Amino acid sequence: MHIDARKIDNNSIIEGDICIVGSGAAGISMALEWLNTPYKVILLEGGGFEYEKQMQDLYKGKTTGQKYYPLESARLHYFGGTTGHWSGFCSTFDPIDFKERDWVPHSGWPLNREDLDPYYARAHKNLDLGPYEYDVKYWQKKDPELKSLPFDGDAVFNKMWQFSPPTRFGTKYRDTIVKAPNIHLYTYANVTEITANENASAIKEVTVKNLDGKQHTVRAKQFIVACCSIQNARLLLASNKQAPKGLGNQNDNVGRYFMEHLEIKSAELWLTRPDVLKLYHWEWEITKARAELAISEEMQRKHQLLNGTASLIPLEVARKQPAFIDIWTADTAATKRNMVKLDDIGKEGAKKEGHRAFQLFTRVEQAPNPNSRVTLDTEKDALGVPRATLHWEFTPLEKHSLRGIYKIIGEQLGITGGGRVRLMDYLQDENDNTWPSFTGGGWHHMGTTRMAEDPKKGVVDANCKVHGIANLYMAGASCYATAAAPNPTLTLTALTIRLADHLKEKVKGKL
Amino acid sequence: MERRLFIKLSAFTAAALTLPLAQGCSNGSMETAVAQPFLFSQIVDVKTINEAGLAYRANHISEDNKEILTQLLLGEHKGLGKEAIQTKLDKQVTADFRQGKTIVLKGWVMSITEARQCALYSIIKS
Repeated sequence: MHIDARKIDNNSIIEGDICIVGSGAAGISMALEWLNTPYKVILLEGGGFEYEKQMQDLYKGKTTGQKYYPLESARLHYFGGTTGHWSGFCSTFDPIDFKERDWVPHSGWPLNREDLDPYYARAHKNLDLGPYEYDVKYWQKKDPELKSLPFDGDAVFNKMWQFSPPTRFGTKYRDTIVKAPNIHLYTYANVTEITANENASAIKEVTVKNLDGKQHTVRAKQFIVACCSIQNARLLLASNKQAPKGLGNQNDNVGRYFMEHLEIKSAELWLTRPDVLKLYHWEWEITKARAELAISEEMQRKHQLLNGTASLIPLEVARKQPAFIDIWTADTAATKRNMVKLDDIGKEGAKKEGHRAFQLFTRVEQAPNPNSRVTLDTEKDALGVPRATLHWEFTPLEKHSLRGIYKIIGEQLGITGGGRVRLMDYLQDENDNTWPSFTGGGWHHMGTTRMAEDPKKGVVDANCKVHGIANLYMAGASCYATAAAPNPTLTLTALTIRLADHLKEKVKGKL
Repeated sequence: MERRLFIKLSAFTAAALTLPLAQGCSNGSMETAVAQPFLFSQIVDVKTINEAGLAYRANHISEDNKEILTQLLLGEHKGLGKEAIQTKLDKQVTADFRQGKTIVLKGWVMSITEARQCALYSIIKS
C-alpha cells in the first residue's frame, strides 16, 4: 500500500518488522523479496513518484579534488531512484575482483564470486536481462556475426555485457509494491536521523521529515539503509547522538573509500582493413549483449594493474562526442539537450562497410583510497541534515593501469597482425600522474560503507550488517570493497537479494 | 596474401610512403625494404613513420646511425633479397610482440623492430 507521509498526522508512529530506507534498485529489490510474507515491511522514499527539483536539492553538496558531477544531479531522489536515468549496462564482477591483490591496497572482499553467482541469476530477473550467460561463445552461437578481434591466447579476452531495456524500477515495480498488502510504501518520508539505543548496539527507530513540515517516527526490528553510497554515508555520519563520530564509524571508515569508475577515452585501435566488429557494437535499446576488451587475471597480476575494460567506438563518431564530464551539468534541461546530442552523434556510427579506426574507451576500477571520501558539510539542507561533501581522489595506480591495459591490447593485436594501438597523449609520459580535463566517472558511486570482516577495515560485515550494531544493514554499492570494472547495478542487486535471504533466515530465528 | 595485398595497395593507398622512401634511398630497394615497417605503413602515413623514427632516435642515441640500425635489423642477413628481407622483418615484428619487446613511440605500441625501421626511414629521408 502507499501512504503519502505529508498527509498523515504529524508525529505519527509507524511500526513494522522490516524498515527499508530508500527505494532505488537496492531498496525495491529488497522489498520485492518480502512480497507475500507475513512480515510488515515499511519502505521509505524521500521523494514522490516524479522528479522534483526541491527533492533533488536535498542531494546538493560540495565536491573537491578531481572534478566531479554536481551531486544533486548524479542521483535521482524519487521512487525508483537512479534507475530513472540509468542506461542498463550490466556485467558480472570477475573472480579477481573479490580477491586480495598485493598491488592494490585495501583490496579483498570477505566473499568470493561463487558466493554471488546464484544471486546474479536472480538479479537478472529484476533487471529484465537475458539468460545468466556471460561466455562469449554462448552469444556467438546465437549470432555467428559476433566475430572476435584476433587475439592469440587469453591475455586479452572478450568480457560480455548484457543490457537491461533499461528497467525503470519506479515504473515497473510501482503497482506491485503499492498493491502488496504487507509492503507499506511511504513517500515524502526522508530519513533525517537513525536513533540507536544508549550504547549504540541496536537501532530503535528512524526519524522521517518532509518539506511540508511533518515529522514521523518509524520503528522496526531490522533496518536496511539503501539510499546510495553518498547518502548512506551521510546518514550514518549525521546520526551522531549515541555515537559522536556517527553510527558504525568507531574506526573512522564511514564515508571513506568512495569509488567511481574512471570512464575516459584512452587510445585508438587501427585495423589493417575495415571491419564492422559487431561483437563490440552497442546500440541504445537494440543491443542485447556485446563484448568489451578485458585483461586476464594473469596479466593483471604480472603487470600489477587494476581491472578495466575497453569499449570500441568508431573513431570518426567518437571524435565528435563531448566528454561525459562536460555534458552532465546541474542544469537538468541543458544536460538533457547534451544527452540528446550525444545520442544523435552515436546514431551516425557503425557504417555497414565497417571502420578502420576505433576509439578505445576505458572503464577502469578506482583503487580503494581512504582519502577519496564523503564527509559532512557545515551547511544543512532544508530538512536540517548536514549536506555531503565529496572529495574524489585517485592514486597513481589508475593511470599506471590505463597505460598497462592498452600496452597489453596493443601487444596482443601486434602478435596477430590485426592492427595497432595508439595511446592518447595524456598516457604517453610514464612519469605524469595528472589527468586531462575530460576525465570523468560513470555516475557510479561505490564504497563509503565498505565490506570487511575486520571492523577496523570496514563498516559492514559479509552480510552487509554494520559492525557492532545488531539490526542495521546497508544495501547497495556502498558496501563494495572494490569497484571492479562493470557498472554496479547488477552486482548491487545481487548483493541485496543475498542480504534479503540472510534477513529472512534471521527473522525466522534460525541465526 | 598480406604481401601481395600490400604490393597491390602500395600502388595506390601506400604510394605516399613508397614514393618518399624510394626518393630518399641512395641504395635502392634493399634499404627501402629494411626501412619499411610493413603493417604499420598500412595504417599510418609517412609523416607518422618519420615522427616515430625521430622519437626512437632521440631516446636511443647509440643506435642513431644508419649502419648500426641496419645491422640491428638484419644482423647476418644483409645478403638477402628485398622480399626475403621483408618476410624476415615481418616475422621479427611478430616475435617482438610475442616476447614483449615493445616500445611506445608517439603513443603507438610498436615492436622494437618496427621502431628501428621507422628510425632508419627517418635517417634515409633526411
